[in-house]
Amino acid sequence: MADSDLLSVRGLSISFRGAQRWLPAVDGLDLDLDRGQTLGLVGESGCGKSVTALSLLGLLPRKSAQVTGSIRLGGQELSQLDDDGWRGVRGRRISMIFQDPMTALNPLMTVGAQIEEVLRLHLGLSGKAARDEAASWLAKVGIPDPADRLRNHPHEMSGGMRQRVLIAMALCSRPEILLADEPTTALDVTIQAQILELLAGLQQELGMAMVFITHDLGVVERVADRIHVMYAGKAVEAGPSRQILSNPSHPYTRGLLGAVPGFRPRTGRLVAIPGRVPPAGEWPQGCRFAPRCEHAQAECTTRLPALEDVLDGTRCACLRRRELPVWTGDAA
Amino acid sequence: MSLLKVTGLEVRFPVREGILSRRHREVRAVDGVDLELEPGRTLGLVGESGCGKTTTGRALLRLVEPQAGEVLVDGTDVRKLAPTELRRFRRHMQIIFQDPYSSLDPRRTVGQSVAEGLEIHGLCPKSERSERVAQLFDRVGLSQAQIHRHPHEFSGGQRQRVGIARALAVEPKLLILDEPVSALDVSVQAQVINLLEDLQAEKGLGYLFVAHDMGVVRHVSQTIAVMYLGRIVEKGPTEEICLYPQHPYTKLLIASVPRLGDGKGIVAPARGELPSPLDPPSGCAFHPRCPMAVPACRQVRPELVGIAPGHLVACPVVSGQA
Repeated sequence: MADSDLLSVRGLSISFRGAQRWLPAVDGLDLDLDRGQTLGLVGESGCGKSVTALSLLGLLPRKSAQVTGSIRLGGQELSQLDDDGWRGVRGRRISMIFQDPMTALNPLMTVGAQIEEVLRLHLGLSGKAARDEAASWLAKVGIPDPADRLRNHPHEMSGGMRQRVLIAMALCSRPEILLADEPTTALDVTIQAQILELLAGLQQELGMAMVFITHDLGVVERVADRIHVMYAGKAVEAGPSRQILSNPSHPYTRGLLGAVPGFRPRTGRLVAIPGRVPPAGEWPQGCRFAPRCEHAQAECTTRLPALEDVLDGTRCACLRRRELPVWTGDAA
Repeated sequence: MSLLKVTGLEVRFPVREGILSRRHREVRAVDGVDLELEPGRTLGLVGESGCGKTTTGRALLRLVEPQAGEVLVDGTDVRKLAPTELRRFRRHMQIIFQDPYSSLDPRRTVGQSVAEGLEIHGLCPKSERSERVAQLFDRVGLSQAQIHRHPHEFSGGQRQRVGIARALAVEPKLLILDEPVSALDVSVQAQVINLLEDLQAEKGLGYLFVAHDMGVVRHVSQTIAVMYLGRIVEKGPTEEICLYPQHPYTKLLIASVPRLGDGKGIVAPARGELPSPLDPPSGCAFHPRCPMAVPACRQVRPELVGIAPGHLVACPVVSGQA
């Protein structure tokens, strides 16, 4: 696959210092993101999707995390940057929003002061110019009475409003890429729809690209152009989101789709994937999904499959990808 | 006779504010709720945060005391029971929480936690207790080796299985399931839902399934009740509610769930946020967000009205009474 001109990640591996040895969290991940596009990272807890995002911002602690591989942003290699170098990228060219806006905001500062701080740091604005710009960003993210709201502290706002403030803080420096880590998971479903609509509108207006991390397959279909389905530190399936969600190839993707209840009238039991996601340090030999896979054969427990082309631009990491039954939509 | 029949349930919480807590106000967390459940069936209670669904579940067991209403479990009025009678009666109705980690004693082995109910209710002689616990572990899909472990040694899905085993130990008739799968990953969530369904079929348990996830509720329930700010706004057979929702709030709730197959792009079906339960809107609490509201909605609080067999809606515009 040709390298993308905006963000191109090759062979990204991340491990964390354990009591006795380094524990792998991400293992040889390749990502490409074009301008204005949204890449969805989908997977269950522990698949490595959130640490991947943190590594793209240089936010993993150097002492306890090992990051290898190449991260190229617009032709610049980021993986070798020192702290000063990262400061020029973080919040300026790549920003991030999180699941829980309360812990991402400073409880002691007004939201106005927090947005103005970003504007001062990255755009050199101060005084009235910064205040006006901060108010215009609050208006842009759909907060009524923005001039008054600048004086609020985070605890005076609802969860949905706090997420809007966080979005304003992340985008006011006009970054090229927004990393969104489960930004709507903690919100009620009617508010989630509002935030997703807001993000899509701002993305179009600002022409930014987005990496959207979620465990929710319904959400990822609404926001992403392409998706990577991740399992135990590896992408097991990658390609256009429409294609993957309507005609999944990998048994894990199929299992996830079968396990989500309530998309259509009940037809019977849910298709549960047996067992659980292996924790870091306990990844099995060979294909990491093999112990839970009904299609696994002896070879699967010894050989680790790589992503290979299947159809219509999708790639799948499964040794048996050509022999699996046709996807019917209701069984793995 | 119904397994559960709730009439006019009300729970109010005092709220103190102002200097020296001098101003006293009340939140009507549950404001006149009626529910009915047959043995072996599941009633889904859905709504967004703060709507009162969790408080409703807890009030049925009197884990929070209701201020008004009648709660009949298998014909017994739970609200009339004296404290010792209530404790004894609780073996018939058990609750499973969202986060089993905070509901299990971290210093006891999970086996001890499961055996506790047997002990308190004197349900089986001491000599047979460990065998009974082993049976329960086996039934919920845990191994015998895990009986002597502590809660922190388990994954979220396994801890929820422990919670289920503990609830089942006393052989209840009614289970209140309070967001039992919302903290779990999708693949594990499906395992726990399947287990709950198998147990229900086997033992004829009645489930009150409290959740915010419309998809999960649609899958597990035969009847759905939708709550908004302490009141039930619509109630009816599951597929009727999911395919042909009538109340504007139910429509909003269902339209907001991103469904597979809809493709890229999103249009939020409504503006505005949930009003504060401390200061609920007059009349119909949904009127400020409602696209169908007429002036009368601001004054008159709507009651549930039948519009089809078993299908009730608290909206005079929908039921043709406005």
